[in-house]
Amino acid sequence: MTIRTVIPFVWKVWRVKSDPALLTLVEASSALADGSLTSQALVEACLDRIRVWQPARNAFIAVNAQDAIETARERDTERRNGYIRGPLHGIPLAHKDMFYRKGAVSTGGSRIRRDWKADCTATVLTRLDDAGAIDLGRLNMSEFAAYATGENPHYGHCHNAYAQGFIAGGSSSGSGTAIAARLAYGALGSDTGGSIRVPASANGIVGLKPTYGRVSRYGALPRSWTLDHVGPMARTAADCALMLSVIAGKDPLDPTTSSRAAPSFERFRTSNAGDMVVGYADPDRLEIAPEVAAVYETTLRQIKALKVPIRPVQMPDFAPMFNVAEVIIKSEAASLHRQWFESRAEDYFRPVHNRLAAGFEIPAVDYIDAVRLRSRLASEFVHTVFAGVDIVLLPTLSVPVPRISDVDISASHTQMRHLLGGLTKYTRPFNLLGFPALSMPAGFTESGLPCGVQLIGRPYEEFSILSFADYILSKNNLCECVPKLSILV
Amino acid sequence: MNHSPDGAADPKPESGQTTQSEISAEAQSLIAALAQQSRLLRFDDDPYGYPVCLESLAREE
Repeated sequence: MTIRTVIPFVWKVWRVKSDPALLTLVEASSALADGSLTSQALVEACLDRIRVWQPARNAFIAVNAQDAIETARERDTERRNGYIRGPLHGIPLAHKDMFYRKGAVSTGGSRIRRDWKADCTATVLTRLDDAGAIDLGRLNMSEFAAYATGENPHYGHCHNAYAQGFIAGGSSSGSGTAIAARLAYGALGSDTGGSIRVPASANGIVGLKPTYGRVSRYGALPRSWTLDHVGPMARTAADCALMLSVIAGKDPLDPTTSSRAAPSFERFRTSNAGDMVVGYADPDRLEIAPEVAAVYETTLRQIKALKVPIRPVQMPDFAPMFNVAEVIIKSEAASLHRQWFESRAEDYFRPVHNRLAAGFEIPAVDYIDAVRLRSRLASEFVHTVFAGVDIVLLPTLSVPVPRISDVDISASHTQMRHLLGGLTKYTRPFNLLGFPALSMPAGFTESGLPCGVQLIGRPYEEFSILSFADYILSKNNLCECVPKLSILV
Repeated sequence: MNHSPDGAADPKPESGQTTQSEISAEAQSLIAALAQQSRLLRFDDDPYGYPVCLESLAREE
């Protein structure tokens, strides 16, 4: 054994002994398999941390403590009897409160659905259940997945894992905070304009928006069916790859899913990140804050130091893509919400209501034009940007993580639009194009909060970007950073 | 477990500044921005829809 292998091994043993919640999903799975931990121990470790962190961060809307412990005991008995359900057997996860489970409440972060019970189960939950995962509870989110800051007046704002008083990012706010704070080993999020990648960046974790059609949306609360994506959020790229291998694949209940087989975790294990060519945008041509630029440039230097083939690429203007996506989101969301918009207007968070309102003023022909433009823009991007590279590197957020007080909703609609546009400037275009995109930790800004970078892959090449993220993260150890509850800013 | 550090029961006051004209202005600016892109669309563009296009853009596995 070399020093490079001894140190991670000792670090893992220490975590198993001191706090199993500090393990990654893949490590926890391995500890269950070799008998060094039980599923009940994992669940109790997560619940212990939830008790301490929840009052300060509010990542959960509801915790299924008793159910989770009972299920863990069942999984342990099954394992002792030689029955393993799947690759997530006995692993505690938690999910954004928008994935339906038949007979259970699913609020969508809204007042309107506070007591609403689902009449079906989301395919992604069924697949995780079948793989043996345990559901710890329902995670906080922006109302109806409609807001990139993650604020929620109905269930309380979810705070950033690294510092109370700062946004968690949204709309999968609870997923970002819970995973960074080690309250669960993995979570599902949804992403219509950046809702997985924004909280992943803000909380220093890995969040993957897969290719459009890769993962079923059946039983997931819709926001904009053309741009909605469901994906994993976890501490490492390997954890996301394992979750993706379980949830991806054709679903007869969602006709938009691709017939391509789900990528196997073994394939991720054998991918060679060193062979890939990385394209990047010239930092001087990006509209990003200096602190974000510094982190982005540091990442570029790290990649170059590893002798990975990397070259600058001329990026298209992202603003038109952003606007095309906005037309689609607003039009589809207005249609979905029309009934409640008229009958229960007072039950919406006012900024969410305002965002919906503009959708009713967009003519049908403009909406259809926007949908048709999607193919043209996707083709152009592949034939220009991806002509000579396998992966594209971009910032995730264009600004440092703001304080909750800086996104005060008493600001005008125009001010809020400007802020939200800044948060999703470089994420939303890839919902329109439908290409796989992930955010991975890249460093910290002056306030001590995480700052991520985005990797974008060609259609269906999730494992290219996950493998590359895994390679970079194995060199900089940013996945080992654990936020401290005592940090109050 | 559902309490917020800053009080779920006492959210910040909601915006009174947004007017219908602001919302309409947003919609009009989006429509104007889209119009520039729409001019690029040709009669035969996207005949089979986006999923078919996406599949055609993928590399062989």
